[in-house]
This record gives sequence, C-alpha cells and structure tokens, in this order.
Amino acid sequence: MAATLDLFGAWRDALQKWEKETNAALNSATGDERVTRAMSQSLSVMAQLQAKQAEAMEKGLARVNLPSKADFRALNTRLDGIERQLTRLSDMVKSLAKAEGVTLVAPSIPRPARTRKAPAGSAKPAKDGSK
Amino acid sequence: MSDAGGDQGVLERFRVEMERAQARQRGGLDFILSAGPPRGQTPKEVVLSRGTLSLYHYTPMTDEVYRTPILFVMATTNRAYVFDLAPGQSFVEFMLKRGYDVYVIDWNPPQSDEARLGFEDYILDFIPSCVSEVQTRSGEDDITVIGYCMGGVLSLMYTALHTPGPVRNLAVFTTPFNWREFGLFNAWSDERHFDVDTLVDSLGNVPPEVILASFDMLRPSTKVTSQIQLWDNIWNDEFVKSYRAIDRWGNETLSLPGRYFRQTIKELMNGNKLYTGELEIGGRRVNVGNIKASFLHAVAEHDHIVPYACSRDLVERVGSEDKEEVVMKGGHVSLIAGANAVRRLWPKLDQWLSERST
Repeated sequence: MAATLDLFGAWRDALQKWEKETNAALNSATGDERVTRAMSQSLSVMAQLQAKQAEAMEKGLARVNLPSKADFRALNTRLDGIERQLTRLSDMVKSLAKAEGVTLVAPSIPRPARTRKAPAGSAKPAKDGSK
Repeated sequence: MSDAGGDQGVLERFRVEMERAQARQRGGLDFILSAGPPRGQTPKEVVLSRGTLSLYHYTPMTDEVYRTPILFVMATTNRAYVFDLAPGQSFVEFMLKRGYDVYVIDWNPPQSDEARLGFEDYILDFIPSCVSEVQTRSGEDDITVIGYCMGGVLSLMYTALHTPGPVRNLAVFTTPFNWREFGLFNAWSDERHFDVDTLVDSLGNVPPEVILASFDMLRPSTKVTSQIQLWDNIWNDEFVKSYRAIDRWGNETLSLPGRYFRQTIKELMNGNKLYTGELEIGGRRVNVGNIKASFLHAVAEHDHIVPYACSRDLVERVGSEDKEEVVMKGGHVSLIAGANAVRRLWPKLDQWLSERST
C-alpha cells in the first residue's frame, strides 16, 4: 500500500525513465546519417569562419602595430627550443649523476625506505566480475 | 492493519520529504553563495613541466613505501585532479596512505604552437621523459604505469613499444581497444561526412567546446536530469560536495593538439589500427601482444563513453601471462572517482598492486 502511494519515489523513477528514453531517442536521431552529415558540415563551416576571423584579426593587429598570435607563436617556438635544450642538459646531468652514484632529489622531499611488503590479509574490494 | 501501517509509512515519508525541502532551501543558498570545494589538495611537487606536459610527485604519506613507484597517465581530454578531487575523495591520497610512491602525468591545454604534437611526441618523448624522471627520483628501474581512458591507450602504446622495458605492472581503466565498437562516436566521425582535415587545418588545436559537446551528446538529457537530481539531493552535503567536484572536472575539458586529434580520428577511430596491429609510431608497429608486464584492465559496467564491446578484447590480446580483466559496477567516471570507486576500484587496485610492487 505504502509503495503505491510513494509519490516522491514514483516521481524519481519517472525522471530516470524520462532520462533513459530521451537519451535513447536523441541518440537515435544524432546517429542518423543525415543528421551526422549536417552536424559535420556545420562544424566545418564554424571552423572555417573562426579561421577567417582570426586572419582578419591578425591583419587588424598588424595595422595598429601590435603583436599578433603568429608573433607570440614564433616567440613560443623559440622558448620551446630553449626548454628542450634545458631538458637535454638536465637528462645529461642525471645520467652523469647516476653513473657517479649521486642522488639529485631535493632534500625537502622525504625518501622513505622502499621496503614495504604486501599485507597478509588485505581488505577485499566489493565483488565484481573478472576474467 | 496493513493499511494503517501503510498510512503511517506515507506520513513518515511525507515528513522526511518536508524536512528535506527545508534543508534544500538552506543547501540551495549555500550552493549559490559558496565557492566550489578545493581540488588537488594532496601535497605534491611539479618535477617536470614542458608545454602541455606536467609531471607531479606526491609527498609520500607512510614511513615505508613499496619498492615500485606508480606513474598515473591521465587522459588527454581532462585534468588529472580527478585523481585528487578532495581530501577523503582522493585516489592519490588513498594510494599514498596504502604505501605507494605516486607520480601523475597531467596535461595542460596545448598552446597554438603545440598543434603539431602527435602520437610520436606522447609515446616517444613525453612518457619516456616522465619514466626517466621517476626512475631517477626513486632510484628504481621498474615502474607501474596506470592509464585512464585515453591515458590507458597511451600507456598501452608506450609499453608495447618499450618492451622489454621499465614497465613491471600495467593497469588501465576504461580503455578503448576495438575502436569500431564506439557506437555514436563512429557515426559522428564517419570519414564520408566528417572532415577532420578541414577542422584541424582551420583551427589548429581542437577546442574544448567540441570535445565537451561530443561527450554531452552521448547523453543529451542527462545535463537536465542531473540538475534536477542536484536540487533533489541538495539537503545532502556529501552528495553536493561530490557533485560539485565531479561536475566541475567534467566541464573542464581540454583542447587537443590538432595533429594528435587527426591521428586519433584517422588511425584509431576510422582505421582501428591499434586493434588490427597496423598502427605505426616512429616507424614501428604497435603490437599489444608484445606487452609482457603484469596487466590489469578495469572496465565499468555502465560506461556510456567506452562501451564494453570497445574494450573487451584487450585482455585477450595483451601478451602478458599474468593478466586480469575486472568488470565493475559504475560508469566511466564513477569507476575511478566518488563513492563507488572508494568501495570498488581503489581497494581492488591496492590488492592487485601490493603483491606486485615489492
């Protein structure tokens, strides 16, 4: 009797059902080839419009003598080159240190002993299927 | 008799709902006025940072740790703080307290000049650099690699191409392998209609809005129902805390480097080359049969992003002798974060790994 009068529970069940059915219906629609084609075309148009807009913006910035995205990109490429060189140097230092048996880790990081053993009776997770 | 009991049950239920309605008003006000919960609170240090790549080393929390360090590889579409949502809800914190030495690869939004990055950069440069850093800092040659979603795909590719190599244990979660079984993603990226070249050539990097929209379109009405469910549960502080953390993370999608996106669509989605064994990175074929590390694949029973059909053949095809697939209750995100993960995946991973990390 109580179950039949549980309006709040029924409302939640109805919401879940609506979500499931709406998702299924919309998925079926968006999976349709015509819809997919239309979506892809609009995405391409949007991308091309954005590219044109960026191009126009770049010309505008050049006119008022301000650095453009391409200028920053060039700067970034140079910084990237420096970063790569530093990584290469750092890797070399690490190799040398390893060969000499020197530890390079910052002293602020605790270095606990790496001797932990698996507990004999570790807590088992909730049961699920496995193969 | 039963009717009287039923009436009392209805009255009790009505009373509970009225109390919740009052609590909703208070909770709703708190929700609007307060900032979201802090994220990524577990102490860590950035030990490597290069463009889109960041490597974190978390401060150990036990006096004694397992010999083999762990390297988490995050999916390229989202931030890695899903592993460290909040104190008490943090996968990383859980693993640290269980005695592991934890490193995490996080991806920053790629800059425009990083549109040129492709699989080669991730597999032959970024991940090897991180592995080398972990080896140096830990003083150990062997490591455990754990990949989530696309991070799992990258971990598979890396391990397959570096064998024999430093990966002693490989655990992947919700990792697609047979990309022909993606369902709607296959339809949307059908090469007859979807012009990935125009998209990438026009935009450089693929913006987060495109990635987020494709995820949202898998469950279009869920945005609406999740808001209703939030209102329904706003009296419940734990629910709201968890909802806010995961909702914010889900909405913080990253842009993807254009070339990487193009390769994902052409090589993996259209060509299914990881599955067929035809994928080449740096001139070498990626064959998951070459993987010999101990292998665990955790998949979610209700994963709407990576359906089971998409991931089920992986465990059979990996070359490891010690391998296991576990199908767990939950969805794509609830497998690794939230109350479900605390009860299922986290202890399972600890149990599996503790025996293989000494």
